[in-house]
Amino acid sequence: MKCLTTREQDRLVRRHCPSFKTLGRDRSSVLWQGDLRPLGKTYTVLVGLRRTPKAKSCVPSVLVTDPVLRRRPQSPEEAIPHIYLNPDPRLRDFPYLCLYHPPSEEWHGGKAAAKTIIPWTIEWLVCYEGWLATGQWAGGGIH
Amino acid sequence: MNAPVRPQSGLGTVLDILLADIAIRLQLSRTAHARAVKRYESIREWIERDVSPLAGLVDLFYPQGSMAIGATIASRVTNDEHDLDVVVQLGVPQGWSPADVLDALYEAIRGEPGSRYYAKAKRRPRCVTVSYADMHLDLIPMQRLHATPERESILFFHEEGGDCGQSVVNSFGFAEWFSACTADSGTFGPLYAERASIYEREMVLAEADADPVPEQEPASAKSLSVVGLQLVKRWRNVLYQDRTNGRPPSVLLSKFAADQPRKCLTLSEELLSQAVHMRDRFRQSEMTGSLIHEANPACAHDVLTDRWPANLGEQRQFAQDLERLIADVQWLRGDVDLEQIRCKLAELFGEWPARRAVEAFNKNMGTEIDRGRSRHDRRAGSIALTGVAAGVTAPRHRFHGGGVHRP
Repeated sequence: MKCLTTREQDRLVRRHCPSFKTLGRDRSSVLWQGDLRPLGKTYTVLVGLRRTPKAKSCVPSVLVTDPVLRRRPQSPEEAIPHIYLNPDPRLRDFPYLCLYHPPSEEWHGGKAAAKTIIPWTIEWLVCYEGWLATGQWAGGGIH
Repeated sequence: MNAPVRPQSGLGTVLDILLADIAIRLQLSRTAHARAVKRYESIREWIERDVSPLAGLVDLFYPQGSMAIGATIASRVTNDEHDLDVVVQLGVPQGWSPADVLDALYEAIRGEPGSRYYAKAKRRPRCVTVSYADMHLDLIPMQRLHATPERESILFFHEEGGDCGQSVVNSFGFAEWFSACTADSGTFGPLYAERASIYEREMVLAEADADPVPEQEPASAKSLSVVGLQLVKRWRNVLYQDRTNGRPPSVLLSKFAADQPRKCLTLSEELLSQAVHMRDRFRQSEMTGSLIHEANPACAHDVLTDRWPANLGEQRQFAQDLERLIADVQWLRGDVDLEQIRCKLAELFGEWPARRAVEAFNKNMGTEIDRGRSRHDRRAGSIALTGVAAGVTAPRHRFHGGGVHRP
């Protein structure tokens, strides 16, 4: 599997996702900010790709910066499904989204973030809104 | 390649889809419609029996009001019961008073103690109501006026110890006029009918348990105007459920829906336009300090505002209600999430239809996502909804984690 370079990833994001702008890019990482409106609400998200020394591939990370993701008022003890806690204690309100199952290699560095990570973020947000409104995360997933 | 994505059916947004699904859950299903027709046909046979006071006097039975124009909506806020109107066209003998006509229809339907409608029939000032567990049929006696436009008739009213009289009406002509004004050959009708068919089939399956389910005829296509009217009527029902004063009659709301001049592209736009049109008409009357006056376009004698509004206060109250409806629909068309939409729709149209429509939407969207079949408009950063052309799919994936996890 040949990994796409950050430059190639950036080119594809800017071509397919015009609401995204590149906040920074070097040989090992790239960071975009964009607006998504999966249903009726607009969300600002940060999408990053980072090549880590341990990983052979790029690792994506996605978080929603606006509005802040919230728990259901009817069930405040219930955690938001399918998120990773942000390790930075100052950023606890901005968890990372769990978009794919890493052991199954649904994502690898040879795939374009524009055609996977960003559409999967849209789908995560649709499920999140559905969960907020009904209490049911209807989009499936692996626990 | 990204295919172009454009709304083409009146159901281009989540709000439009939820509004349609609320109307589908509140309208008379095809099964219930067929049941209503069978019931009033049985009543007709019954009142024509040899010993009936109306034997030989019944000319015609036909639906009027919401059933005639396809704009039925549940009459109660907390369940899906329907009130349906049926005209009983009679050859009224010379010398019968309005009370005689209504009493004769009541006696003809009620029959002897122990007969099938004895406990179900109730005499009212303008009709006889036959009550069933799931619906009420209002049977309205009328006499055809000869040498007038088709089905122009005399309507009788008589209240014990109160008003008594008759008026000239043409509910059939109104329904014909309404249908001509609101006909729409666009793609909304077939798509709405398809959604209604799917829903009704699910309901039949749920009720049928393990029994085989007969194939059903497709639901009839409706125009944006008719579904918009159904929503306005439902909003009116919810609004007036705890009020003691009179409420705007359905026929008046139907008149406004049909002569709303704007050609709309989506259901939410249609709802908004009907509300704005009504608000403007009430404002005009308000400016002259007069009560609104609307007549049946098919019969000038048939005044649709003869019983409501009773006074300027009732009229002003409804105009203010319309201002709030307009503001609410505009807000719903803005930057709001599904939970905010659900709450507002519950406020406007009742809790259960809003909740069920949102639950069904969530389930359908989730299934599409889980199966890797959801479509996207990448340029807009949105999901491509039903009734929106094209869009692209993303590779199938599974959300990971069951809550808060460390990366």
